[in-house]
Amino acid sequence: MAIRSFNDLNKKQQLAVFIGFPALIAIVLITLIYRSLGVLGHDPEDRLPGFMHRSLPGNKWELIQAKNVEITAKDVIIARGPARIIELKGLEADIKSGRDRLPLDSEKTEMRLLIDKLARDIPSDIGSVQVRSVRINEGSSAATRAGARSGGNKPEQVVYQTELSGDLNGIIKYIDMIEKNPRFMLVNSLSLKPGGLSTDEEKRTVFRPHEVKMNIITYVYNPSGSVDK
Amino acid sequence: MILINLLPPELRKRQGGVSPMFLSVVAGGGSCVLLLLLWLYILLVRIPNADRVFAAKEVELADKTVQAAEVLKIEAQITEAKERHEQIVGMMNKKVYWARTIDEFATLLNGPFTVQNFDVRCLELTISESSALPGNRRGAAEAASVVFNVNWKYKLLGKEFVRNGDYIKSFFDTIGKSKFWSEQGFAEKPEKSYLGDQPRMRKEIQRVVIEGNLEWQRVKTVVDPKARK
Repeated sequence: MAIRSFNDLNKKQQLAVFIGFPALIAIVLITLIYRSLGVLGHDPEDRLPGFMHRSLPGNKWELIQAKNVEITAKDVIIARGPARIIELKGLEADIKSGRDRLPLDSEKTEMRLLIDKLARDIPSDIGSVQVRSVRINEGSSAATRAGARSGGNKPEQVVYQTELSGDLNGIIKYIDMIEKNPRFMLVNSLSLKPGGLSTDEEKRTVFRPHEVKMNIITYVYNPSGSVDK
Repeated sequence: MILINLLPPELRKRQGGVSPMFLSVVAGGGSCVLLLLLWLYILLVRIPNADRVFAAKEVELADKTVQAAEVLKIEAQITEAKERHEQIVGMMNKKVYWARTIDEFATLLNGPFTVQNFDVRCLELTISESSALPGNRRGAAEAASVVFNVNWKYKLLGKEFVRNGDYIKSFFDTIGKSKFWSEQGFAEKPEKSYLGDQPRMRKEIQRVVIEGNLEWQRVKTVVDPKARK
């Protein structure tokens, strides 16, 4: 039917159909190609002439280029790796020193024991000190504490409010031992009441022990990374 | 004469040149085939190739992200170690040692003084950290100094009531000229907080007693570790 109809057309009309139909298909194909090229983006390997390249937002090669940019950024970081490993090895002494000086938050009982042990370690020929009480007063600022607990950069201050008694030489030796102990940072408050004199049953002069209250300050540190591992 | 071709059109002799019908079929069809091939090339070769490249880049990026994360972790450790080291150095710079100070203080109170025949006792000693700086040293120096208040109650026991002024002067002169005063970082003069006295004669011990309170300030200048470098 269609062929007969086509045959019924005159030559000019037939020619128009012969030209028009492929032209229509060509237009459809060109549209499809145009859209596909837009989806593809600027493919460096497609060997198509440059004018055919076009880019729709978010095309495939644009995404690939974005990945390349990210990879390049990662490469820059990775390239620093060997130097950083060497640097970290060089800092091992500092890290160890930090670990020694700033105890962990969980080591408070060890610190308490150390306060007692230092008093016991005073040689008897120098003097004697007896620790009467130790009260732990952690950092006043809640934010500071929270920061330290969560691995913040600021170490948390912990104050050991210590009461002790002893003779002067023993007390001086005790303070010296605390100040020289790497774990303790400083004695920031000290109150000394001389013990005075009394006489024993045989009327001999007896020196009563001095009473001392002192605040020993340490800083605890909770590492955020694996520095302490 | 007019020559009339009575043959049916399909048997008529073809005129010279290419038929426009044939041309349109060949050219139009050929163009359409070429365009179709190009579209299929883009659709079936280039776009899947771009997808493969993208997938490969994603894998590469994931791999490099892991490697970069390792380097960043090392860098975080380095930063943390350096910060901690700086904090420790800062704290060590601010550290004030008291054992030697108290030892020298006790030795100083045992004399000798520039005037003979009197003794000095310390009835109470309190050391506490202060935020205030002595005199006009506030301001820029404030952050770079650690100040401790040393409050103590003295008791002078002299043999002659009439020489109580000599005892007081000798007491302060001896302290002011001592190594203890010059080397331990005390500010101003020892008598700065001296507000007079009221000597009393204690007949039961045959001594003139002078009591009073003194407030000294010990200043330690903190050197910024960064400025030192």
